[in-house]
Amino acid sequence: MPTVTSLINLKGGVGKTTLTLSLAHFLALEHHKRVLVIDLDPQTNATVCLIPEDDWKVRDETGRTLYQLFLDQLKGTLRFNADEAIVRNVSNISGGVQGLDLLPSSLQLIKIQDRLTQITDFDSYQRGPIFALRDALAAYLPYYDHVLIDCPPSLGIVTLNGLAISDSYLIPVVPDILSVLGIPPILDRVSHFAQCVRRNIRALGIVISKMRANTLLHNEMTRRLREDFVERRFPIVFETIIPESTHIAEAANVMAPINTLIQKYGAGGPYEELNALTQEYLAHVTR
Amino acid sequence: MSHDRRDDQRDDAAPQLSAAVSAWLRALATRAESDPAFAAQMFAALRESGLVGALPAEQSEPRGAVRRPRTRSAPRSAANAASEPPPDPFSVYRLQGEAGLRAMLDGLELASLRVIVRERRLDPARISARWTTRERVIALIVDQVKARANHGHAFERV
Repeated sequence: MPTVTSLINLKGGVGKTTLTLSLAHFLALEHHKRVLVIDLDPQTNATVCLIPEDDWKVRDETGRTLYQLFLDQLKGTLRFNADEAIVRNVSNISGGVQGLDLLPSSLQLIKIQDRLTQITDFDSYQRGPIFALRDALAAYLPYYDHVLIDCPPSLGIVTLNGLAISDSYLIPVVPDILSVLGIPPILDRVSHFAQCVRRNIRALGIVISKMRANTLLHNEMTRRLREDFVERRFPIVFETIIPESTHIAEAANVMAPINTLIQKYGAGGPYEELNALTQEYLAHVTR
Repeated sequence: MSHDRRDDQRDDAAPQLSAAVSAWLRALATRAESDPAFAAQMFAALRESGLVGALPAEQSEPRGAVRRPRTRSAPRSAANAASEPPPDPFSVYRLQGEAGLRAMLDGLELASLRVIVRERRLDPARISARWTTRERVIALIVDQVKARANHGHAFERV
């Protein structure tokens, strides 16, 4: 069975999608792992970083995104087909990376996620479509070595579907004042959910991203995060810190002509750090 | 109609003709200033007509019009091409579509095409740096300009 990891933070813009995509690329290309990226975020950013938006549009209109899966839960239908929805060998590197697959999201999830919440009991999780994703992917997950789930900045029903198949979760943060506020609620809520569904979901660690090393605030918050790990039983903070980088921002362009990971992330800069992060991630998940 | 009468009629119409020609030239100049590709096309037509020889040397190339030489005997240096401001491919695509963009790019030297690629960051990984044919670079520019210009269109009606 694969290692399934969700990337979660209640705040947006902290690097969840960026880290999901870079980990997926490095696992597939540098470590030759079979990787599935599940884009649960209705913003659909991870999706359109891996496939052209016109391709996504066609898929979305033909029921081959996660919108169809959750729409089925509301309507009582069974139209979603994981085999058809999973896009194989995605990315703009050399026209597609062997073994890197995507389960695409949909902007249309925005329209139905509130209705999904209304049919869910958040105290017991006994009702509501908590296991829709698990059931839909049961036959496909064993094919992969790693599954990475890009979660929306909430702990709503869509995110819980990701957690329900996760063995662990990563918390990306920008080392500033607001980004770290969401960490304790995530730890509490995920722990509560894990107990309710009787699943061990390990807090793998905090990854500092978008670091601006020349600012006092970012350095101070990084130091405090590492101290909080000791004093407040936070998850560990990964040694590798991902810097704010134009290269990483430009890597989001799926239409850019790219042949290698170094070209995508830039030699001597983010490439080295993302490579180190991937190795650290592998060391933690296999521990 | 006598010769004198025709001259009189010409004199009567002269103010109207002058105004019309002036208005047309002003419109042409305005368009040429705002649209380098159009300026390049006009200049090419002017040069074909032979009229360009009447212009002083420093005025004989319009701003932004970097035309590919027709012979190998007088190639433009990369330094010269790079020193001229390249046309904005996004403006050309927006105003004239893909065909207009291709027409504009087809009139540019490889060095000028590379300036566009570099200044617009159309190839951050610089994989086109080793390409030696204009056609490949033009295809890259067209693809990237189209992709960026249409970026987000799929999200507009959900």
